[in-house]
Amino acid sequence: MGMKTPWSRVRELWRRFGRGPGPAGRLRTAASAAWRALRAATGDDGYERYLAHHRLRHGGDVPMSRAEFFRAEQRRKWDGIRRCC
Amino acid sequence: MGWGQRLAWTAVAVLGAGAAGAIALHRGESINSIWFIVAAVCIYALGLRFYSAFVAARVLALDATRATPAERLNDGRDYLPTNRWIVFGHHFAAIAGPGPLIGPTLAAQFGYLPGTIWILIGAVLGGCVQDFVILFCSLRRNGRSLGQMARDELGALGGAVALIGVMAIMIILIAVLGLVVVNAMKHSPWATSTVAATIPIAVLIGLYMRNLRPGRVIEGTALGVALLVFSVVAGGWIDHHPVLRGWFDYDGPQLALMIIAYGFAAAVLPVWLLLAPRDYLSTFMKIGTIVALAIAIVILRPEVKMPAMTQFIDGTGPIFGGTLFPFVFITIACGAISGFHSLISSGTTPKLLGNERDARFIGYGAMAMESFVAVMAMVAATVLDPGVYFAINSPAGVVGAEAARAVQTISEWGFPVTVEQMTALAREMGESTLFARTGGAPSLAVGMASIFSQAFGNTLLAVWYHFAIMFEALFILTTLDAGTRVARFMLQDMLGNVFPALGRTSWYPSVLLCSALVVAGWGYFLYIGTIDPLGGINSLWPLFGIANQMLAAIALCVSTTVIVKSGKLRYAWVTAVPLAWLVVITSAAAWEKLFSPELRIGFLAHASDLSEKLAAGVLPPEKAAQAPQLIFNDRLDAVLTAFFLVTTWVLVIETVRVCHAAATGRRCPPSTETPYVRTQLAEA
Repeated sequence: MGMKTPWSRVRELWRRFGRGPGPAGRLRTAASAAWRALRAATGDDGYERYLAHHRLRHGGDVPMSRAEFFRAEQRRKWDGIRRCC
Repeated sequence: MGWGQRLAWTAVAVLGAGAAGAIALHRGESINSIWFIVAAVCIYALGLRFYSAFVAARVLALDATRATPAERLNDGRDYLPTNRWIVFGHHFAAIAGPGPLIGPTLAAQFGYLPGTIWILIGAVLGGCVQDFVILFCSLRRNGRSLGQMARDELGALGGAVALIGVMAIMIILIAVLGLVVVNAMKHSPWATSTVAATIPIAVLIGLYMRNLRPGRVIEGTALGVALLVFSVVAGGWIDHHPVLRGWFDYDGPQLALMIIAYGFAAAVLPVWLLLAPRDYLSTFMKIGTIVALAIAIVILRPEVKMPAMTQFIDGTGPIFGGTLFPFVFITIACGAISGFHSLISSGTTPKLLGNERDARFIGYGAMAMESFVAVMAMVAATVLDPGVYFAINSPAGVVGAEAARAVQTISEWGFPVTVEQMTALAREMGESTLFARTGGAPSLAVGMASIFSQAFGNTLLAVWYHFAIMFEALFILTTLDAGTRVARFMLQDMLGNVFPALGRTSWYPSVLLCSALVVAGWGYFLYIGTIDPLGGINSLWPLFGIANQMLAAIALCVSTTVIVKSGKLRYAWVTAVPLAWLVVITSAAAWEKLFSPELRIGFLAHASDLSEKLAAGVLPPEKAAQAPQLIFNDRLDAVLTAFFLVTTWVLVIETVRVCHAAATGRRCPPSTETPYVRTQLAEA
């Protein structure tokens, strides 16, 4: 589309922000680490982790698509006791 | 340990002892809540640093070089070595439910001291140990469940008792949680519309995460949380709208029927549509709100106004009848020791641990954190004026239905409160009345709302109140959905032994039938609870507490057997002492609920009193119409209680027999620990 939405401007700024040493660079490293931790804790990165595991263990077969993977995960997760009093 | 560390831990011990002493010995007008937080944090830190280290090294002999099931059986899905902090987060999110918020709020009728002491001691020596040891047992048995371990280690009888115990606790738990939500929503259009809005919001997020942006959990959740906050504000508009408010204004029995219909729908709908997105939202709201509450208490350090002990330790308390011993232990339940946790500790968590050593931090540590939530709930309940606390929580059947009568009764107890005060408070919270909202959620919400509004700007009290109600209802309903589903699976599994077709979990007629049976089970207790003049909580919460503590006893039976079989008889007290204590309190409580002549305690006494009155024709017509139902319900509660009592003792005797046989070298089921395999993971 090429349109400059506010969101794309924010992303552009972040892409250029803190490249190189100095406090901005450290902030960037810390923010990326926090974001990765949040994604890992919430399962947001589940598909990426699945792809990595898939490459390692079953190199030959075609992996599931993102949507297929997410559906399979939800079915699996709710087949047991997941929540307590 | 170096000198610096020794000094630091000595300081923690002195500080903890000082804070605990201040709480215990203080006899003034009020005491600052920061002492509760300091005492709790120090005691958990000491427990985690020293006692759990002792259990890990001497009793269980955790071995970092031993490959875990996640490593040996790694399938990339169920079994998967996962970062320890992520496992900790998942484990905590799974064990932390509404129990530790409700139990302490109810137990506050005895004063702040008894409940707080049991929350701290019970967690450090009982609950944390149970969660940790069961996690260890399951880790050494390929991640097997509590039921399977009970069958393997104690024999078929143990397995059957565990299975039936889990079913029973699930039914009672869901009923009592449903009742808490009903009491928060009755005749409150704001609360009802907000809670109702959580359903379409969850469905919307479910569709978003499945079809629009598959698997984008953070995006979906952020959107959902924003919508939930909006629904709290919108509820205020609905409440002020003359027509719309009528659509959301219902009494207890009507709301009970709606929750029953909702529970059935949630159990038969696909999980991605309602259950899974609702769970994402409730987990985020739960963790966010608990953290906010902790920060607010630390910033604000409110004064606790409840006395250390009230006169109700004699058993005449308005919220539930029964003396301090054993009912404070039964009522606190989840915040100190929760049998239900053993199902999580032997469920998903052991399949994710990459290193056996982490079982200590996750099993023991997550329960310490859960117990901390219970301490905060105790603070939120006791910072209220005691008169207000009792006015909100006492059922109409005990203090009288009219406001003037209720405040007079409560003031005569020595907890002054006026009608004007309650009316003003209700208006501030955006409610028509706060009287007789038994169950803990509304008084906790009033406490949280006043803490939040003072800490984060002294406005919007009504919005904070309904935010707190929505937050509690959100994860109560998640537990209700998830529990109904699990109970359905278990019922299908049981019935499948007799009729194989019913055992197929995806066969729709079986899904419908078994879901209907489970919902009918808890729906019955919920409905009766809403028409019970004593408030329903009076009979249901103790029943839930007894069932939960019984499940904990089962878990500790398994733990003790495993420890004895591993040749550590001299350390068996680590689980045997909490087990003995649980058997004493559940037996005493069950005995009183069965045979006490007090009408508000003994189920049988209440039933015979009611039938005598019915026969004599002294009941007013509407009471007479309900009486047969209530009499039947009392007898059913009595049968359940007797069943819990008998099964607990059967299992304890079986445990003693197996342990004796193992210790003296006689024949008993052999230990099913998997053989040692050395880990290949670099980390260890």
